[in-house]
Amino acid sequence: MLLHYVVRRVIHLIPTLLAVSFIVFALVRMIPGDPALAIAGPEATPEIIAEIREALGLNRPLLTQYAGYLAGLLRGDLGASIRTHQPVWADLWLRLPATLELAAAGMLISLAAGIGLGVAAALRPGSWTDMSARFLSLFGVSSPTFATGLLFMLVFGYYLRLFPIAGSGGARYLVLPAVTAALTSVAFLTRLTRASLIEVLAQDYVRTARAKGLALYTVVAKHALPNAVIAPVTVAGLEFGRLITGVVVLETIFARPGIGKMLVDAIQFRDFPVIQGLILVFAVMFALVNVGVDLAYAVADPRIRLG
Amino acid sequence: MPLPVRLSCGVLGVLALAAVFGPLLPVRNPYAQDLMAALRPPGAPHWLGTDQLGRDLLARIVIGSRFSLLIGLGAVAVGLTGGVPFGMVAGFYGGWVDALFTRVIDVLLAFPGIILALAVVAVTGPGIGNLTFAVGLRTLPVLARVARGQTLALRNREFVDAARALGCRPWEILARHILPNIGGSLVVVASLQTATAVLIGATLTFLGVGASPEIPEWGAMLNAARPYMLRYPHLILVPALTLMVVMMAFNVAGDYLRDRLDPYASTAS
Repeated sequence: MLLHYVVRRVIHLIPTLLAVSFIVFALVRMIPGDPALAIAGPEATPEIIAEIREALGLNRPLLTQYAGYLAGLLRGDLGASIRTHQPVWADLWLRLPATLELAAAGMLISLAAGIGLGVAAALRPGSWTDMSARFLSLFGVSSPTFATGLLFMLVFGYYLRLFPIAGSGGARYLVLPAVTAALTSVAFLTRLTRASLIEVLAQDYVRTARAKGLALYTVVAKHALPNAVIAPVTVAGLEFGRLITGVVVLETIFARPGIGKMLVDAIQFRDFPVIQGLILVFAVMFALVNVGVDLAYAVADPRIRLG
Repeated sequence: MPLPVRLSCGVLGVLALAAVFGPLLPVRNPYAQDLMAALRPPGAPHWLGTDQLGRDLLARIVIGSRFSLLIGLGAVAVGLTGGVPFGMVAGFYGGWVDALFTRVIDVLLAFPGIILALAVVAVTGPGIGNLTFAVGLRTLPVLARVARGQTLALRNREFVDAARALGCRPWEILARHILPNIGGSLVVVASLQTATAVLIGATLTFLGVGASPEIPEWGAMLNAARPYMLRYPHLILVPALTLMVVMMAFNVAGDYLRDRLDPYASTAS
């Protein structure tokens, strides 16, 4: 039954990813005017423009171009950078670990802190803990990642010298960007966990468990929490999207050599093969995470996979 | 009205006044450079200090408010005009129209976070108009879904049947009978989306891909200040704290509005 669900979920993904690949393919063709000229810049010689046109396959009919592009994708060929002439994959492959490291650390921190704070707040609504959790979540929701990133760098990196200001290598370099990346998601997950646990704690079965004489800790840990965390876990996929925004920004701020920084650089240089490849990779990553989240959800809640 | 909500409305009021009447206020020229007075900390005569080119930060913050507000409201306008008719038609007719709607929205939502906006800006190039359109595409699916869901809930109600029985054409039913009834929810979601749009817009200009660095937009100001931030922290503190206060005000006011007006929207956004 679970396998059936997995297969259905993955098949459902194919049309969306095909459409995404077409949009990514079409990006270059949507540039107003002559794309080759726009990419090459005003000082390019006709030879360079012709070379770019050839490299992007702009001379052939549109559908032939897309078929060729798709065939290339299936072979794992994302084309070559206009700037460095290196295959996009080569650079991507080198930089992907830094991005995955930051995204995974951010996701772990946001789930752990979000659920933890949400539980603490829900157990004593109106208390000092609850108020601080609520203020923290308002702060998190309202703080642009780039602003908190710079402020954290200034305070914890420069004034207090607790963590390195920029660069990568080792866990100490990861702390500031990962915490900053997690901040917004922590805010949302705290709110959601709090609301969901308060609702669950008001249910009859919780009262029954308490009436049997079970300790509050046991009731929360064994009866209430498994039901209350379903809500924050289902939105973890959405939160991953938010996290990707953070990753792009924070790699730029903290000079981490990941694919987010690579994308921003590529946009500034109008290096379209790189832009296209990276956008596709981000979309595929997002799709896979969402399938993973749905699976976790289906495992946790039988109503989903049977319904 | 609780105190935080009043404060937030005050902040948003000041923001709106600054955006509309900015050039009439007694602030300096936000573009005027004065290299002799560069990188001054806050204090008279530059109350918030000056940047690396000696431009007055207070003036740049005040004039910058119009860019933030323009991008936020413009993006939501793009989302409303594109998303609401589409969502209403999908919810009203159902069937293959609705299936197509779901597909298109799924594809728009398949790009995580700011990636779609980055892709659009990569194609169109920088500029306030392009940026607004790019951010608008991000708000479109959210607004379209609310419009669809609300229309779906209303399409079999008696007043719709009555309108149909009286001979109203489908577009008349949608525009005259359904739209006024879903307007409240749309306003609430649109106000919360404005905050998101301001944030995404500022993120793009911060990354240096949204608009010219000359423009006193808050995100662009933070980006330009980065090389000087360790020695002159006021350069990032001023725009960063302004953005945070404004975002907090948007969120507090938006939440209040949502709780008061529309229980449905809490699950929609």
